Amino acid sequence: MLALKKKAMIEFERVTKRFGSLTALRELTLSIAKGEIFGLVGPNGAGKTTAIRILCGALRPSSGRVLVAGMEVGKRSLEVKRLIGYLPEEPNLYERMTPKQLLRFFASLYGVEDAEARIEELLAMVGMQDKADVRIATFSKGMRQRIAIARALLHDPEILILDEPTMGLDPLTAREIREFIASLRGRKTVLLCTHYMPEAEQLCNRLGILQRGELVALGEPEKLKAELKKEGYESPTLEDVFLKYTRGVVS
Amino acid sequence: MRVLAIAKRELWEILSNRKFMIAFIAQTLLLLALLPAFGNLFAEGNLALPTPSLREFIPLGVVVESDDCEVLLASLERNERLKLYRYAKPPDEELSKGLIAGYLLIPRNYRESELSAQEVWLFLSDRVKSSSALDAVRESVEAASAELSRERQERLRANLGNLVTLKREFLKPVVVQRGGEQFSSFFLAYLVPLVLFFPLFMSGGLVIDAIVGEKDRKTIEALIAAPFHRYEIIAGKFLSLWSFVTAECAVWIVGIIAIGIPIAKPVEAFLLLAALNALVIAIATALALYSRNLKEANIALMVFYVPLFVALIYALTIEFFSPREFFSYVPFNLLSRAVSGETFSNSAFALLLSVLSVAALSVVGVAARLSYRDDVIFGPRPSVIKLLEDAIEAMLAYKHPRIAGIATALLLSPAVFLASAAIEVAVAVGLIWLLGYSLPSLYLLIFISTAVEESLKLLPIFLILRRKREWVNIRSIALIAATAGAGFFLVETLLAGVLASMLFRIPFTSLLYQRVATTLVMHLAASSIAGVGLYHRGRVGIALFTLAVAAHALFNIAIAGVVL
Repeated sequence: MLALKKKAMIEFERVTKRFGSLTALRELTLSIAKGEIFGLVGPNGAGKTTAIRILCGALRPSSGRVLVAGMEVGKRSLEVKRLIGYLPEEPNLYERMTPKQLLRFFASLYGVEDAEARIEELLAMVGMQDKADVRIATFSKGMRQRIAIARALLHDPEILILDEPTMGLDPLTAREIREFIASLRGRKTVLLCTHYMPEAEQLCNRLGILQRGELVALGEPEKLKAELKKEGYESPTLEDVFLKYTRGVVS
Repeated sequence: MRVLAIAKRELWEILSNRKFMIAFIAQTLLLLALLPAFGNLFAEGNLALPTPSLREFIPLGVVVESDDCEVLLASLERNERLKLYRYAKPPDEELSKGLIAGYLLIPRNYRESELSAQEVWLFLSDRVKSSSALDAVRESVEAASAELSRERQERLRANLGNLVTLKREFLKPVVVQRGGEQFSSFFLAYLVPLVLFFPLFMSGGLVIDAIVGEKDRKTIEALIAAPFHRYEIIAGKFLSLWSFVTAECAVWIVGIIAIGIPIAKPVEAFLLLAALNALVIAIATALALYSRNLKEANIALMVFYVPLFVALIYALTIEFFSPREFFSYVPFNLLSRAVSGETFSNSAFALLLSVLSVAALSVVGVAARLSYRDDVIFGPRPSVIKLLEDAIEAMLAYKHPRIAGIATALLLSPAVFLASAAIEVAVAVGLIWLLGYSLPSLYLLIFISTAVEESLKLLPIFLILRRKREWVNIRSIALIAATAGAGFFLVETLLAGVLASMLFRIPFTSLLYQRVATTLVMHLAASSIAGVGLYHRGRVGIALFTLAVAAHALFNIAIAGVVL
């Protein structure tokens, strides 16, 4: 409902992506409103990362199109990319660099004005200012994730794409990151990919469930659960919803 | 600017790699410490090695005492490498001053009209070019001897051995003087250039780390999501790798000069290395980009670098021991000449720099194009055939059908030539097996081969007609078909020229001129006729194709007749 009320920031229009004989994404149609936190969930190999990569301009769809703020990704890729901050599934960073050097490099690529002040601000925000000049190679996964988040936010993007942002993190760091994502609600448009259903339930305005490249369910978490309840399930959880759509059964 | 930002980061990545930098500094120091020792070893040793030569490059004295030596003199004069100076008496002073590489004495008792074996004497300098002189004179003497033998064989109907033999007087180490110090020409023309290629051959690891490492560590995802074009990533990485390796070469050149080893033309040597680095790094970048992972990239680059290294050794060896005209256009050899001070043609140097630079830019373009393919970056990796198919499709889709056809014809030329050559070899083997070495089998082979060639050259015409028949007219088809013929000719001439030059010492340029004047015209005409035939189809088409094959076959029969 939110998508109908507000201006669409991200629109997938019948997007299909094939890799040889494999169809990774099939006719995906989806609209995400400005300021919304949208969760894209699905089992491994469902097509989440493919959808994200198409949105980032890293992959080109075999058919269909993706619009970001009304601009087609393939045709105005540079303008679209400036609107997007991307946190990949694995926070792969240049190991020999320090956080400051890494952020400076990406600031030069994105043309960030007053880069030094912005870098200081972001490092403080992700709690890494005391590690600003330490080589990334020595960092834990949680620390790398924080730096990757800082990199994604560096150019103050309108849209944040977060692919499994809390996977493999300790509970404390995961919680801090979730709190940070929640704080973006209404200010930024967030596309969140996750396997962790409580996280999706806690953070997302709406959810889309992908299964074998197809969008099999779409709606607000509460409504998805209510639908399941109507079908006779007692107090279903979002995980039940997920299992129903991905395996056809509820535990 | 974004290209520079990426280049700067890549350079930083290389320079911050402590292990690599320590290895680089240690290699440089070790090299600069060892090179002078090698220099002394070769200068004082007993190595007799020739130096390279070009047209009229070897100054040779000739002392003619005999009045019956026309055949030998004519043979010497025909030798393009020799610059002959006639002396009435042995020019020992000129020899000692190093003005001539040596002198040939044709003694009074040398008589070509006599049946007995004759001897001539070659006195060689202890300075440059003496061994090249030996090589060249031996060639002329053998040619004269063969000619005399043939004449007498015909006259006497008897088998004769070589009539003229060469007596070599002495051969001392070939040494060049530079600023009071002596250096073996082997050291300067072979070892020093070899050393200068080391940075290039060590660049593979850097390329793998910069290109496949980025894919392997998955850091490329964040780069691709950043607001710039993918060609900028490739261009930035190429720029950084090329500038680092080229700077390494500059350091080595300066270091070598600093320790007292002379490099005759350091600027030319540097420019050649820079251009060659560009091409090799561009190819390595494209290969690394195409590789799925680090392991595959290592194998791919090894498959590329090993033959390259063998080619380098082969070219330098040929340069040194048995010069061929073709190698005047090989970068390894030109670098050897730039280091040792042997002369080389400025036009060959300029041509080579241009060809290497254009080829490097083209390959970088191919790599950039590859980087736009999702299957190359994220997999599943496409086959080479698929890449070729897509390239042809992209060309055929170009809005101007004539340009699309010409580009397709040129792109397909190497494949058409190789396919045609493979079929022709198979047909030749089959015919010899069936009919033996006979004139009918030769004629049959010529007809079948020409039919195969003319059919395969029609491939681009077939593709363009299938896609854009309504947009092309007969003139466009003739032009595209002629381009297919020219492309085929180009590949054939290049390979034939290299083989002829290496195996039979036939000068590459003379072969090229000869073929341009004859074979090119035939290829253009026959291909155009066959192409127009395919455009017409039906009986007219068959008649035109038959005409093209017949004309081509008759031309080949005429050539075969001349050769036989």
